[in-house]
Amino acid sequence: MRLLVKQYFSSLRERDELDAVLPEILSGIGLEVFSRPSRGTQQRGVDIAAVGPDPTDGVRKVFLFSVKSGDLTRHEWNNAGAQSLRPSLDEIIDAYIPSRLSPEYASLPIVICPTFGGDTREDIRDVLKGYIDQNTNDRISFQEWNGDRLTTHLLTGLFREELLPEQARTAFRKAVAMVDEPDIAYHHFARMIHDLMPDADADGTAKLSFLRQSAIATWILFVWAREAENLRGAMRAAELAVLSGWHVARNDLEGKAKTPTQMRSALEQLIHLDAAVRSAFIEGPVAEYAKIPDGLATAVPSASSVDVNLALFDLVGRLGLQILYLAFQYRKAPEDEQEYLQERATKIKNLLVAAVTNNDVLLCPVRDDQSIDLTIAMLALQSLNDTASITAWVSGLIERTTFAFMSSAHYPRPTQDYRELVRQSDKDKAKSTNANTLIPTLTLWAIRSDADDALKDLMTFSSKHYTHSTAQLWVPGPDSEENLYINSSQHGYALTMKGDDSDLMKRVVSREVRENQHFATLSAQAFGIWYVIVLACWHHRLPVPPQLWFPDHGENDAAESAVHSN
Amino acid sequence: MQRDALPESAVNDLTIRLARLTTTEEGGTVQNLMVIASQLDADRDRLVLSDFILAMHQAGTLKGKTARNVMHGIERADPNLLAWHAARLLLSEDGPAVELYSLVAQGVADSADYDTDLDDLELNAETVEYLGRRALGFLFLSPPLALGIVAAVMRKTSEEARIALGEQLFDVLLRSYPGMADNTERIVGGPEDLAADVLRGAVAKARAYLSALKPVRSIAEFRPSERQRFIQAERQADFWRDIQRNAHDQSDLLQFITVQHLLYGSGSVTHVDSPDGSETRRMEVPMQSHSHEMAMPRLEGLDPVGLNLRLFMLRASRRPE
Repeated sequence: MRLLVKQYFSSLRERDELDAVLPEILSGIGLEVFSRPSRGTQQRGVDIAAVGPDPTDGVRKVFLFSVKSGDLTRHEWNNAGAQSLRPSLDEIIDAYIPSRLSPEYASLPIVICPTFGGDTREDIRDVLKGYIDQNTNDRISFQEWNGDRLTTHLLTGLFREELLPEQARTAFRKAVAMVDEPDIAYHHFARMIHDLMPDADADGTAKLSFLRQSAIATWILFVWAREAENLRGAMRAAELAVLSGWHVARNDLEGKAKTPTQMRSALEQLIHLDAAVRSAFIEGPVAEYAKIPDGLATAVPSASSVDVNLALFDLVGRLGLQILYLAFQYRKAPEDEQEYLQERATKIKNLLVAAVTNNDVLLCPVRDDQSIDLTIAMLALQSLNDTASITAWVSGLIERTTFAFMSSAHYPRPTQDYRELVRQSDKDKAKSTNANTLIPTLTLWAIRSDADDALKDLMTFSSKHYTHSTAQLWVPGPDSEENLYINSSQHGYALTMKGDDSDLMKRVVSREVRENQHFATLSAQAFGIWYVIVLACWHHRLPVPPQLWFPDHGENDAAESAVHSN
Repeated sequence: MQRDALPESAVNDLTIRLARLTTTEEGGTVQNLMVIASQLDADRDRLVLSDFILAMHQAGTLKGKTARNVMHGIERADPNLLAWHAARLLLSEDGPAVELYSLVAQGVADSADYDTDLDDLELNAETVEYLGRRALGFLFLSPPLALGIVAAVMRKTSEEARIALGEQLFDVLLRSYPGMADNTERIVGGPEDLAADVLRGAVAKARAYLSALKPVRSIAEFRPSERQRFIQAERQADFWRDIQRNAHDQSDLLQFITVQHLLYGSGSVTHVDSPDGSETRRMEVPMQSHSHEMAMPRLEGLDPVGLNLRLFMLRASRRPE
């Protein structure tokens, strides 16, 4: 375990990454973090500040951390760049301690901690020692927080035996070892989460501890996955960490007390981490290949069209999720960050449009539940007002999907069983398409994007060839709040409708959007964090409730969808 | 049946009529029809042979080994004649066209370049375009043959239709079979070749398309799971087992020999008795391998529904009045 964790610290590439995880480690050893890194503010050399008992002697001290990535080299120590260590330490001594440190800590001893994930290189060791000797006095001392020390603090803090029992450790080790086989890695990670998850009546400290453990475990898995150049397992693990974290913390988030505040912060970190893992994937070869005709489809290492289809629909779902995450951040970001978020969202939106334009396989799902990926991606396009792309996409989808059914090949079916998908045959066509969410999904998106001709074709097809199939969407029920985030059992309602009457479909869905009381009582919706509901639907393969994407077209035409009203 | 007892044209008419009427149950007559077919000159009697093939096909007597023998016979006589026969069959709307296609495909050599002469098919501007679309649609799995006919069609049609056909050639054939860009380049004629520019344009597009894809490497996150890979491998194994079984069933050779299954070694040793039984003779037979390869159309994996839709549109073309 020690080797696994140490390797993780030394592989953290960006300073930001160590910044993000260090507060959790400090909390795990009983320190109270009172200053965290923030964008754009002058830190005077201090990235993180904490107060509490020194683990080495138990004396209450102030700890000031200056964080760098990787090994400490001569270059990192002192170069012309703003990120070198020596100028930061000088600034702490010359500016932070005299003028920034809160008076309440004035009497406490101060420990300055040069922090880096790797080791101190030999050629700089004596220089660092000389600097420390020169600047140590009665009040100020230094502690070198390298990979070894960070590992020790993690293993004696958040990952200590009482908090991370052997069974969970084993599952976690297996998850990391199998990171190149994402399904297996995810299976073990989910096992670990299951083992660690506290009961609903556990105290706030236990719940907070779980959130922090999940975050660190996800980070470790992410870094190992990045080394193995396969982020799929880490992406799924990060989603699960957010959802299980939300499930555990959702009833303890209200109020200004310390624990709810820390829980909100920990959850926010988990949500950021999930987006960071996805972002690392999206900004890799995906971004490059999306611009090439058939580029992404060619990058699927399989000759089977089913594999190509599954991989690319999964991708558009992820791209959609990432845009929605940025849209969610945008709404609560300060004005000076909004432009940056808007730019990033637009960049990913362009990637999504390029992926669809250049890979025609995205015009015909093979699985009915790919309506979830479609809804998320289209909702993302809608959030950036790109209705034209939705119109073009939904028209292509209707043309190809109806043709696929008519030609009895590669048509979408309501199954997730891979063996069934690859065995598609004409014999059981009616039986194997006895239910669907795709027709209502395409119908409602065609209505939203004014794809009138395509809508007409779809209704004609549906009335002539698809009446045997039960058209439906999913809406939350009274049991959804308890089950949505961790998918513990079937919940909510199938909202059934006639699949060949678009007007009726619109009326039925609009009325349900107006009258269903359970959506508004979902904790994520009540807290205004609708993104978690989308993430839950994506992760657990549940249709996204229409409250999030189909504005009320009924009597109250001015009503906006939940996404737009939050 | 004696061919010299009646005038040739009458014999031909009668033979074709007989071919239409003969059913699969009348094995002896089918055999006789095949003897007649083998006596026809592949070039001089091409029209008669073509009608004959069509008639037998409609009667359901030209299939399997019989069809293969006829088509290979034509291919051996002159590969371009096969393309001519294919073009004539494509112009016919009498039989289910997909079956006609598979009939023709029996004789196609994968690497051949076909230079098809359509002069005696008496095509007008509309029918020649119709032929081009059907060639792409129905002969998709025999790309050199489809290309040969499409190029011949381009040389006989208008500039506008040529350009449209060039687009379809790229979109359907060259995107699916990257190797066909070389074939296309080879069949471009001299300065007098009306199709040269369009064919070169299609090749340039195909090369640009492929060169853009050259830096694309596999994305690990897209790799199917271990279970999915196992299921695919299982399906592949079933697929090849079926092919092997069919090959055995259809092989003339294997019907006359004894099959032995070897569990070990890279060859076999057998001791055979001499004719007089006085001694045994040692026979050593090293193992040999046999392989056959064919290009799988890329679009079948990348966008199967799109490919089917394109082929459907090409095949669904109606013959102009």
